[in-house]
Amino acid sequence: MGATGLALRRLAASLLVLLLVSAVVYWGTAVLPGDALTAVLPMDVLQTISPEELARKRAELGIDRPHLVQFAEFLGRIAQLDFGRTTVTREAVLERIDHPLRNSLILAGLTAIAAPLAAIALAVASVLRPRGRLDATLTGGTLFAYSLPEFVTGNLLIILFAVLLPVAPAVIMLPTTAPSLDILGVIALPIATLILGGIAYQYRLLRAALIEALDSDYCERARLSGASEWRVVVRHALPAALVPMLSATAQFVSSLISGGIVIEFIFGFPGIGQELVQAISTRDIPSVQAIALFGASAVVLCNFAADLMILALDPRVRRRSHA
Amino acid sequence: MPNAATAPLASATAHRPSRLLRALRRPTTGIATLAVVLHLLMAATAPLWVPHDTSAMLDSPLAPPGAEFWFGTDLLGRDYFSRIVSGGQVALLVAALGVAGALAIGTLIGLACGYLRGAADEAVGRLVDALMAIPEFLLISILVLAFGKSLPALAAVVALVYVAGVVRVVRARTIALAAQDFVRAAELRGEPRLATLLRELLPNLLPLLAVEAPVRISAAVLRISALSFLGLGISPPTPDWGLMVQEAMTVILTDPWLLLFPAAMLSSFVVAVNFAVDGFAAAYGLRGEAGA
Repeated sequence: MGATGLALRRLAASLLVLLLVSAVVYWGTAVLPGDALTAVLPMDVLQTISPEELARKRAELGIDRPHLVQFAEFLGRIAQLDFGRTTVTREAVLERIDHPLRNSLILAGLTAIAAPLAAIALAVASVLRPRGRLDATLTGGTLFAYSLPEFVTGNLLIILFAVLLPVAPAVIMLPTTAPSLDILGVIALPIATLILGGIAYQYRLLRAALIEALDSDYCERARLSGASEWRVVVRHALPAALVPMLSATAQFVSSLISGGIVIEFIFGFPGIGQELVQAISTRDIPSVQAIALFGASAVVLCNFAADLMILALDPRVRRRSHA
Repeated sequence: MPNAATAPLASATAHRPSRLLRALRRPTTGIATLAVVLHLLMAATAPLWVPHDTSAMLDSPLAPPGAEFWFGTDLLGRDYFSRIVSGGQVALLVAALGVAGALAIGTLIGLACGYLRGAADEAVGRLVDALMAIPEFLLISILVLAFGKSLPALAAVVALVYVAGVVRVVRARTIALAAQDFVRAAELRGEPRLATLLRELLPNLLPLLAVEAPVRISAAVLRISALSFLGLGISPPTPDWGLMVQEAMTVILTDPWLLLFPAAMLSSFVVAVNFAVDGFAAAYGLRGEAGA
């Protein structure tokens, strides 16, 4: 099987995962908490309706049919990006989450670029003097930062940079529909929080891979030919060491969705995480379904992209699949 | 983790006392372990010795620290010290119960899949992939929406969220173990498969589970606290660090110190668990086994 065949197989696997994800979302949101009718009606209204009338309403809405039929319909609707209307304000779900989604994509996108770059910078600094003071500080410091919950690092950054040294706003006061350029002005602290929480794993993998690469024959040869240690690290060891970090970066990007929810809440960032928290507390099931499916699709897409990049960068993976 | 997979685990148990002591003698590991033990003791015994009722409004809000109220009072005039000391109990209990459930179920499924293989293994593998493709926090949110916020429901949510990850690491480990000579030997002796599973494979998974349990419990404590922080988890007036951070956030501009107590407690617990596990895993040659 060639590289194309392998890529197609990964694509098929990704699509299967997406189908299963939709099933989990459907059963988790539409079946378990009671049905669409009891979920929409407030408790006191529900008590005044007779069981017969409820049954008639259910038949009217088509929610008394088998779940598999309804699930097939659900899939058909989301395939056309029709997520229905929100239960409270009756506006189209897609319209409501459109702007917050863009804002969150800006936040996640900038973090996804900045975090691996920061990891590379720190790892290179570490291995230039392995076991030196800087290396030890970075190794301990990243594990420490990784262990702190996002809502603690976020708030500590607010205390530092908004209360003690007032250089950044503590709370973002922007409407969700504000133009994207305005978002850029207030995004530094949220990004810093996300990077602090997510950098440890990528840094550790890259550092280990760099140390292994620096021990190899080809780096030794580069050293013997008179290249400086900096050149050996950056030109010879780094390209080989980046491959194992890539899958960790893909994992980090997926975790941005979880982390982003909390971060947005702390900073008042007008993004999709805030919408989700609100949708859950008001039991707005169509919105939760839409946000969950978008989030999961983003993760599946990231993993697929990482697979393709590893396939393109590492000839060993291609060769192994021939055997 | 090729080195961990091929390392003979039998020898890891031979020198247990000396390895344990050697690990504890490293300052970071020793201090971290002590902190974990103190945290657990505090959570277990807090109701016996806290100076005040955690939900009684005793004084004016935001009173400064003093002889009566050591950490002052919170926004509602409740004794902050008593609440801080008790703030880890519920999250820790829910996390421990949930992770115990996830480990029990996940180990059984992972063992069976990794040893028996076949179509069922393939199907479970796909389901695990799907569950792990859903961002953890989204899955937690969906399940909280479905099950509600009661403590048993939260524990069930934790169990469901972590079971897929446990299946994945246990299955991978089982496949590596099943290829080794001692399993082949048991099969050649004609041992029934169930006996091989329980007597040969399961004991060799224990080191892996010993790393998995604390790592996942500390991660679960973080997730539950984050949920409570967002108002989707543990409900007031239960003293809980996540909730307390959220309450303190409303006065962050005027009384930022109020936030530091719960933040420090929560962080010190999670940091201590991670550093302690890191130290022991290194001492026992288990590095890189957890957290898949």
